[in-house]
Amino acid sequence: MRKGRWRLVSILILPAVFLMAQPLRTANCVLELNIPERIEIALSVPVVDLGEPRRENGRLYYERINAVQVDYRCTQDDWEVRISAEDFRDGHRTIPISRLQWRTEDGIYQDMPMSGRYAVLARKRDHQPRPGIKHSKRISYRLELRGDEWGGTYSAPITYTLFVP
Amino acid sequence: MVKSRICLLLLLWLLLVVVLVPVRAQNWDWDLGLGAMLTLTNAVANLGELKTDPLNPLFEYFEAENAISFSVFVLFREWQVLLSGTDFVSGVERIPLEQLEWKMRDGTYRRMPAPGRNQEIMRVSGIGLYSGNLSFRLVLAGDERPGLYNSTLTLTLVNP
Repeated sequence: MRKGRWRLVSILILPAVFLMAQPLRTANCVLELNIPERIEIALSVPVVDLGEPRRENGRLYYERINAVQVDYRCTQDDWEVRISAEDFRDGHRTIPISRLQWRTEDGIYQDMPMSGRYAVLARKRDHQPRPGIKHSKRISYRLELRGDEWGGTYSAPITYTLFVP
Repeated sequence: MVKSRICLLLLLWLLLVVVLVPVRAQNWDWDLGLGAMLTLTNAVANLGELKTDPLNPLFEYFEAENAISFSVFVLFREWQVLLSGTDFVSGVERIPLEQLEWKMRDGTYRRMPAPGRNQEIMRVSGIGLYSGNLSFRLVLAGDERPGLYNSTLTLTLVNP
């Protein structure tokens, strides 16, 4: 009698077990990564030599095409790249920096702002819709002599600033 | 004779409890089904620090070798281990899951399928304990917003 009851229980349980068994088995895992803020600016060269003077239509000028490459990147909400410079100096002699012209690869020459001022080379809205990636601009310089300059070896610091308000 | 049968039945019940009740404890997620058991050794995996290819500074990526280890204990039948996941999310920012690449040990990287789709990563059959290690790499497009991103990956054990 008991034997039969156990058999009956077993017969009832086993199908139930198979019915309750789910065909899928899953396990979850969270993958995480942290993307840091990036505010980067770099120049391809620390010093630019304008080379030998050239003459064109009676004008004497120095020019260096693609003299420096500016790489910049910013993931902030707003930013701009500024260019500023100090006057050319050789001892106590100076040449106003506003006589130096600069341009990007696809731009036209414009005068460098006076010492203490700046011009905007690039800003976030110029790079929509992907402002956070790394961008580059190649800068050319041109300095036309007016004839009132004294002889000497002149140098001027030019500063590129990634400005985040 | 009766005692031994009762013991056998109790043992059977104990086995049933183990078989049918999923257990979740600390970093272990394991679940035993009829015929196979899937074990995941960690519940969270971090892809680590952002890396840059020294030969190509524009190539930035995260990579975690053997970030997830799993084991499959098979009693009978053939089983597939499937991998799926969700997009990486940080607030309103989102990185598509397809940007993530995965590989098994000694394998080569392959792109993850779109969310909701499964990718077979292992097929096993016959009694035995099978294990695998998953490595991940995420190459950035460069314009991703900063933040802590999460994606939930799911390993699924199915009968093919």
